Amino acid sequence: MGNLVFQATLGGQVNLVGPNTASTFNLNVPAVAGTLVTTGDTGTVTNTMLAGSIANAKLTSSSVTVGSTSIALGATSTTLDGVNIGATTAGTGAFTTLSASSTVSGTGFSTYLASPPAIGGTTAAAGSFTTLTGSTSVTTPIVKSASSLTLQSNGTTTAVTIDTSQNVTFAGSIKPLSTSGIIGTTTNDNANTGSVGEYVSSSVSSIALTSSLANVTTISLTAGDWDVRLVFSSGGASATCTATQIAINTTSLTVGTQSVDYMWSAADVVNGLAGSSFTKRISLSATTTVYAMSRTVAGTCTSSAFTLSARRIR
Amino acid sequence: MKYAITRQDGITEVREDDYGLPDGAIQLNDEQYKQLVTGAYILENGQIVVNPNPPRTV
Repeated sequence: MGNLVFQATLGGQVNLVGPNTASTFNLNVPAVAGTLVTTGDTGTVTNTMLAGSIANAKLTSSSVTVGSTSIALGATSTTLDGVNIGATTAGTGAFTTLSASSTVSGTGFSTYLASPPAIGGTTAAAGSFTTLTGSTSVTTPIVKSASSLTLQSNGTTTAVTIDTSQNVTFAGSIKPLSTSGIIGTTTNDNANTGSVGEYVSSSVSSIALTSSLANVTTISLTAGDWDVRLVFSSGGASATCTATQIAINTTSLTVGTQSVDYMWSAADVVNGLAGSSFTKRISLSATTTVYAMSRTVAGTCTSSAFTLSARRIR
Repeated sequence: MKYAITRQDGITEVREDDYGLPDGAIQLNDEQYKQLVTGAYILENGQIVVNPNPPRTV
């Protein structure tokens, strides 16, 4: 083993110590100016002194992890898992391309759009749609209250109201298709009291008419527009019923005006029979008694029958 | 509903309406209604009986 000694002028020295070996080694000194580096040196080796790259395995941290995806330094990943993009504060413009046409796709979107959830989820938030009633941009809003369901037109104009008894009120006219019209009953039932089509009648028989006007029967009609009809037939044993007056009126024992409130019946002089009918309109604003009246002015009507009936027209 | 009632003057009055059955009235089925309306039958003491003075037919 040998030493190469550099004696300093200040009194110290630097020893370059060779190994104790039986072999021969060459230590080549580079042909560039510079400073020798030792193992105890710090902060001396620069990036330009490296020949080539440092392998990842020589690095303490050789990769980075984004979300749950680990990416080696210098590598490329086309997917990222476990990342909440804009979790708390979305970056400005982060998703502007989502609004662009044809940029949103995938089976997840397709499945979602094919069967979207109910608006408001399984339990609609209170007042979710109240703004619909106040928006003039919604042309036919539906308004539900505790007592009715209302369909509106022209903004907030009520067009149709359905109350809790399922009665429907139209603010305007009802105009069915001219060929369809309004379907009537398909069985032998009766219209409700107060409904169009309501029927009221009273029939009597065995009435012996005299020359004095008599109320032969009556019906009571509630307010409305009615067509009232009186049917008369008369005969009887030894009857010679040839001239009979029949009348409909809302005043007792008052025949009113001929051809409007009363008429003379047609008679079968040969057989002593008579029969006639006529109809008049009676429009009422309150419940009223309607009288059927009759008398004979020629012949004898010993057994007369009358049917006074009314049909509510509207 | 169809029903018959005897008036104070003894005349049988046959009625049809939905105002409710008056006191003393007898509710009728369609056949009974037809019998009474034609005058061939009348109501007597709450029973439907043949009218002794029916309308004359030829």
